[in-house]
Amino acid sequence: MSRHLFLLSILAAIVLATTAACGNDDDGEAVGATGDTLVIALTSEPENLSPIFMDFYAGNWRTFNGLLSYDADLNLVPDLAAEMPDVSEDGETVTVRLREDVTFHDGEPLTSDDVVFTYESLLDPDVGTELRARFDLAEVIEGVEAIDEHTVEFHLSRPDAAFFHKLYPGIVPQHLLEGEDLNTADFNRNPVGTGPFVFDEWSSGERIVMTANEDYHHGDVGIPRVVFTFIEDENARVSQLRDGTVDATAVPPRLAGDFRDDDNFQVVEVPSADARVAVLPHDEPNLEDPQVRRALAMGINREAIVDGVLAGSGEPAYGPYIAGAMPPEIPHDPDAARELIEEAGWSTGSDGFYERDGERLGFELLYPSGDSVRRDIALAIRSDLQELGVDVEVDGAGWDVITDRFGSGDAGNMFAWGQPYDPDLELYLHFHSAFLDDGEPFNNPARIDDPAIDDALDTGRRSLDPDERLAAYSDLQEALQEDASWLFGVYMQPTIVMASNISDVEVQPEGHFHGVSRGVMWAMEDWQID
Amino acid sequence: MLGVIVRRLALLPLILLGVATLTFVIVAISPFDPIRAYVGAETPISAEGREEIARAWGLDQSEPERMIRWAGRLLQGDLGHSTMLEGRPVSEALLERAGPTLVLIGTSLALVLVGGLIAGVLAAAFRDSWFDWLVRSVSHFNIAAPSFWVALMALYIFSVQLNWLPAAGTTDLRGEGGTGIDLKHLILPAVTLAITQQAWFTMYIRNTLLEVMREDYVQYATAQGIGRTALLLRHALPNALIPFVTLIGVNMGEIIGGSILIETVFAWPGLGTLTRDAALSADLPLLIAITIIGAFFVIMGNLFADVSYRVLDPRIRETGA
Amino acid sequence: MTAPTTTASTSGWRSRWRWAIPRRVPFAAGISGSLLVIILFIVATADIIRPIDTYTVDFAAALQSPSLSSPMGTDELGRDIMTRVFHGLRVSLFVSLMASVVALVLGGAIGLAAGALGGKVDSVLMRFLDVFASQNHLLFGIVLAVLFRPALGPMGAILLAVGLTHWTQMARIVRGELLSLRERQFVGAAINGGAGRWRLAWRHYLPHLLPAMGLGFVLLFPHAIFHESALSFLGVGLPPHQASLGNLLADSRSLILVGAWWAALFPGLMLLLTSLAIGTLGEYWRDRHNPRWRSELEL
Repeated sequence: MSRHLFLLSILAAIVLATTAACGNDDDGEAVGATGDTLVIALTSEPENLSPIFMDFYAGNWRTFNGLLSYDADLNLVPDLAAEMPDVSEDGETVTVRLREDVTFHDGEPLTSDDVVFTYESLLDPDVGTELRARFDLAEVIEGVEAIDEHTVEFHLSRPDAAFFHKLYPGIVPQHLLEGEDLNTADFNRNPVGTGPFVFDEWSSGERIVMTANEDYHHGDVGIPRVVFTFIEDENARVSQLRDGTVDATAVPPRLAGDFRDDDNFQVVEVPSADARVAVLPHDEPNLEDPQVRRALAMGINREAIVDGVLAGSGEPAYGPYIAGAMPPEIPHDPDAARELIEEAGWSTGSDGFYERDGERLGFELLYPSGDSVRRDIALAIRSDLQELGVDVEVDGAGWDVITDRFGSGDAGNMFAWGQPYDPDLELYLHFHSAFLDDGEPFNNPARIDDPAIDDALDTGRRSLDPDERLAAYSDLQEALQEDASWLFGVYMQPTIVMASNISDVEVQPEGHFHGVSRGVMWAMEDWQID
Repeated sequence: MLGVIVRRLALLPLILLGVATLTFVIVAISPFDPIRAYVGAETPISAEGREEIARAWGLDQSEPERMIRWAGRLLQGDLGHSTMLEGRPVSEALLERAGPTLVLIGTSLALVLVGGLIAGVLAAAFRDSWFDWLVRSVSHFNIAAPSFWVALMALYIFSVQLNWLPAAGTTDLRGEGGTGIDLKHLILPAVTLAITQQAWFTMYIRNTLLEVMREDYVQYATAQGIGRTALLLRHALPNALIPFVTLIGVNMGEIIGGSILIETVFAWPGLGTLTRDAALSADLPLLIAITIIGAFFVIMGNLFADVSYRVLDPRIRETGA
Repeated sequence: MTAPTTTASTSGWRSRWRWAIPRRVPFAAGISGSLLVIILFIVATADIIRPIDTYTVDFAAALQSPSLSSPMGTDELGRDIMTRVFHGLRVSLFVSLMASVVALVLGGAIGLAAGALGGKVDSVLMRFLDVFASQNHLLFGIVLAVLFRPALGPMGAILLAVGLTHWTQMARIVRGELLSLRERQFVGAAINGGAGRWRLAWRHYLPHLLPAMGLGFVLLFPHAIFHESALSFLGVGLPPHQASLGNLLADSRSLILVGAWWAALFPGLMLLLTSLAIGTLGEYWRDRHNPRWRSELEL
């Protein structure tokens, strides 16, 4: 090889690299949504946009609608349905009438065949959807039938109090998906729906672009074009917000503070059922006495955690979030807590910690090492309990270690969990004694075995009477505080920072899992850019 | 000469095989539970669920069997499927992220070349002056300073305080046509990566030139009245690219490591952030693929350094094989 | 080429280590030495000079800029950063020291075996070494840390991750020194005298290899510090609540966004000064000892 040729090729490579780098050099400096495009940074990239594979807590992408959807207060309201469905006397037949003015983005009208196709797909064991298990669909739905072009009947195997929630999944077009393998269909990354936003492009790792649906059946869509980008790193999201690359994104509460004083931004707080709980180790002899556990619950200064760790964007939590059956408040009272502990036979040792028979009162508390909020709450709980005279050892670990040590009951765990929809969706799994010996650490993780709690959960699951259910869940709250093996800390309030020229933003309560059509974005089509 | 290259190339598959085996053996002997890592978070899984996942990921077979199947697929260029990305092919994810990393590394190497040349020549020309002292101190500092810290401080000064440059991402996302990488976003990551890689080249240029100056013909030329700087430039410029290529090869490992850390600080969506995300979610297929590719580049870098050295340096060509 | 121990034939500790005790100490080495003494002092007395619990949360004192009572400021939970830096320095130095020891023992043993046994063993061990040496240190370290954290704990995983990626240089140094020693006469005499190979390695080689290994160790140390902190920074090192220089820098990523520059500056500066001091001393030692190693020790 000639020497000059070699040198030239290297030079060429360098020049190429630099020009490629300079290829796209335009000034998009101004902070705030500009023109008619809104850039929203999500925390992770989806793998699939099809509502068949939706995570219930994330919700449908705004390209789709379900038969019913949630309003600002999480009441179910008609969406593709013309009105709320009729339920037969015996509770086993549900009739849904569809709107007649709905078309898919490709122009084809929506008919009852699309609904039947969607639910049959959800029921198909070869389709890998999590909704089937979450909603017990296979057990509940015996058949779906198209009565006429705009009427669908669901035949149920039993009356189901939570069935209307199961009418939320987005409806997909039969004419585009019939005969395809839904798991791998091109549709999943190139969807066609009925929703306010029409899918435009998806460049992997970079962005998903959607444009307003001109013929949306609920009226005009305020934002002409939306770009979703995916930034896992919270610090990067803050940086991009500040330099104007992104118009709206979730920001950790501590970093949101700066934006509150900035006229270019508004900070939106989302009410949330998302609780942070120190679940105590179930095999720790120190903590066998519920009285000691109740004392710990009184020793935590929840208000200080809300202010200190969450910069005010949160609420003290005293039990699981159940709308209509919220838990009674537990006062922060270190003196009363100490009395309870001493009553239980512990006395202060020379090092300031409680002792009994030479044993020091304390336990180990794990947090997942990637989660700085859970770490900080764990440290705050440690400081509070240390003041009480209880020795808490905090340690960060990966999920495998947590599963192991927390599962065996020798360490506690900072748990993150909660959802504002139907209480039965999660509570049963977390507190019912049916899961005592199933060997799965995250089912009833505190190994609670309490008939009062089981009773309340069973009533909540079986009863169709809303008042009876609420009464049962109120009993549950009290029984849980009595048991006190879950030390409830705070409910998080996710803080969303957005450019101040976005108006008409309404929030909806959300849970531990966020999504593109929950929380702040549930009615994105109503936003306006000023 | 050609013989050396052929011999080295022949060893390459063997070493790569060794690297792959080593990685597999280490994964096999580690007590890591890939299923739990896959499921993640506080998600309950049943025993059947476990078996199903194990089957889907081929974890139910014996280790030697897995090794053979894995190696077979590797030879066909199939790097497996990422758990973090819900089963997307690893190769697809890698290709997607390679672009931003190549641009980042390419730009910083260009900066290292230009900056190193200027600083090195001047330092040699004004040996023992304050400038020489400055260049040497800065190089020393840059070797010792952890790259991610330099990046953090640069981010604070130029992005948070002065608000001159964006601190994260690659581009403006509003654009109609496809997106790319814009210069403004590139400056901070590329310059900090260049700073942490600058020392080896600058010091090489300086020290070589000082050696050259001791040679007879230089002494003679100086005596003839040709300016020292002019002479150095004439000698340095044509010959600077040779050691540059060699040194890139030798320092390939450092460059890759540096880019992982710098990409993390600036949330640059390249292979570095992918590596970090894979590490945090314990995505073994992805991590293993990245490691093997990293090793491949280190080996190729060394080979390339060796070859370029031989091709370009006439002295070695004369004496070498 | 000068052999490493020119005074090897004379006995006695003092004469063997004389090369390590300089007559005139240059400026940079002097500064580095003093710095190292200060750092060691801080590490040894951290509990006395900053006797505060590194975890205790005090929301009232959150995010204060440097002042007399907390000269390096406080973090978002009101913890004193100077305390955390000093304790973190101790943790980081300890972990890096142990990791270097792992590399030293592993590399020393393999290098000794390869050099002493020679032949087939040597070439097999060297190919094995090649495979390890082609791994990218940081990447391979990340994989090791991820894989072994559950079993060995975060600390053990780091020791393994840094040790397994850094032993190869040590092995090369030891083997190289050994080969040059073998050519020398007194060894030939010992072989003729019938000493066994291992006995030979142990009795005759090892004492002469110690200075080289010591130097390799010192030059390795700053790399170990860097890799420990890099792993923690990436989130696969020590648990994030524990004060270590890498963790402090990882935390500072969000803190500098709200203007708390001190959270990034001081831990980084401490990391820089420590590796600069040890590195400069190591290089000075090497230049005095044997300049030929420059290339072999580019770690």
